Amino acid sequence: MNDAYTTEFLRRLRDNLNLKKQKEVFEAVLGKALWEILPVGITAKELTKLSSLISCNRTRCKDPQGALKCAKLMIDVMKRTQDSGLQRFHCSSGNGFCVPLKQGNQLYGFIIVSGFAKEIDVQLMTIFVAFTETVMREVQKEMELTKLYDTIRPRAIALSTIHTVHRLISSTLDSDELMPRIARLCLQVMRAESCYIYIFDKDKNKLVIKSAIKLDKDIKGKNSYVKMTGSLARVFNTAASVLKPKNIFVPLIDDDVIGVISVHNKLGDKPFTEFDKEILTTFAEQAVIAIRNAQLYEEQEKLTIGSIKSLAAILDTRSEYTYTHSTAFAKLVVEVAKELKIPVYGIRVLKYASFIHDAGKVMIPDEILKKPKRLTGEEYDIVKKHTIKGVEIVKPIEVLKPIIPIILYHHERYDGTGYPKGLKADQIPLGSRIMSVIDAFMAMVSKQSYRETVSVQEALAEIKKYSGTQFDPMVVDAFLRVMARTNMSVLFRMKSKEF
Amino acid sequence: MPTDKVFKCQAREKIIQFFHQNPNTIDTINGIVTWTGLTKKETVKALEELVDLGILLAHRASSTVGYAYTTDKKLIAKIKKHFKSNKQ
Repeated sequence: MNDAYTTEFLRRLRDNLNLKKQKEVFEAVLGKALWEILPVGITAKELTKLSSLISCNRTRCKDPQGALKCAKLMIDVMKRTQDSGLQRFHCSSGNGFCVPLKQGNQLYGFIIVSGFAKEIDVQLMTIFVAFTETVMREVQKEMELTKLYDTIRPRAIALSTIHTVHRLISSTLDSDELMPRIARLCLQVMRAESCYIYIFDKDKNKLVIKSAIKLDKDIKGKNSYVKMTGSLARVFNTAASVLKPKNIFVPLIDDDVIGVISVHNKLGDKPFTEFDKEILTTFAEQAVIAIRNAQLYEEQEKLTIGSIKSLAAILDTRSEYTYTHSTAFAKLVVEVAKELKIPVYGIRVLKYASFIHDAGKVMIPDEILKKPKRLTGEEYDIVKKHTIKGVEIVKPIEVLKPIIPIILYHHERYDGTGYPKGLKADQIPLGSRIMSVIDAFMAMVSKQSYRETVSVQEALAEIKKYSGTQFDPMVVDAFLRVMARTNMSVLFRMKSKEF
Repeated sequence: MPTDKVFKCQAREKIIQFFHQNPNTIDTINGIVTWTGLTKKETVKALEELVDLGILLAHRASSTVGYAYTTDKKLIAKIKKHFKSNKQ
């Protein structure tokens, strides 16, 4: 048992309320006395303190010399107690007794009481000893619980932090959002000044900086390739972490090393420790899962977009942009969706839909589709069926199911005069309402067989004119805000692979 | 808000104390309720006030919000001074 434990044990005994009550009971029977809890091997300083307590206390020994004599006698009594257990004694201050604070072979100290005017009954002392032993067990249990609490609490807090970090970084599959989030959280957990995330680019055989953050500020250099030298190269090539007073480099390991995370300059000018390295390693393990999920998701996304574009390309072989829409169209749809704060998943669905929402037109005969004159009522009825036909085309493709409502209702009008169902306002899916505005705008500014193109400004005026009747005013406002900051010539020059 | 006023609210003081003792922590409202023993209602209010004051940072994601301690050295020094003087 160490000294700190004994000191704490004796301190808790001194503060123990049950022991204080027991003292009150004794003093009620035997009168006032001096009660002291003392450690084994009393020092000269403690002896002086004890003698001054004897002379100052409510005992009968007021003379300092007498008090010192009493104190010395008490020390002798403590020695005898150590060897033979409970002792009674008499000194000039009165009657007293000494109880060893012992458990098994371990002696922690003594309770020494002196200054009673009356003789102390043996039975009363025996009761006190039994009671003291109970209090000692109580205090020991209390200390064990405190130790357990002190050990478990920081670990539980750390575990909770890891869990929170996991939730925060797992809530996005968008790499552009994920990487800076990981870096920011890493800075927070590590209490460092800067954090870098490097990901290995297999094509270029180099590490690329995916996020570089310095206390919530982005550092220039994102997406730039770095030379693999020094600690960075060592960590990447050996998959072993590097700890330096001012830096830690930890590999991001999936099946293989996929990158490196590094932190620099611990706050408060302290050096990084082995414990910091362990924390960063745990953090990196969490980060790898999120990064891999995002990478897999992006690969799947590319596959989906590729399939949609293939489908669009097949349709385009018949007549370009009749059944599909340009990259500019898709870009505008996505920008308006972002302006309207549509969640990432919703934007992705809209992006898919924007490429092939008119795919159903492939089932309309060419003579109607390319007719240079106004359509007859019967012909228009055939054209109107393209939304339902479009749904039939995409329905068998599982991944395109979410775009079905957008395709089906993109010719509905805000005032309920559209087709196929005559839905009104909020009954129409928001994606369809967006598609409807962009569709009309693009039709006006693009070359059509049956009418002349109009300027962008004229097209915007038309859109504004029909806000609230044909178009959702909220979508029109968002569209106008997007158009105000869009360079149309750049937009129209966009290649498919750029989006 | 001056530092002494920040500490006038017991919930704010308890939360600051928790983060000051555990600066590496990032935790949710429920976590902070567990560690401080405060009610959820007072925790939510105090957390947002502390975020506005810059004493805590809120890492917001779609599914949850993680609260963390400031990295502002001057602010941390002021808080440290407060707890030190209170201890004395």
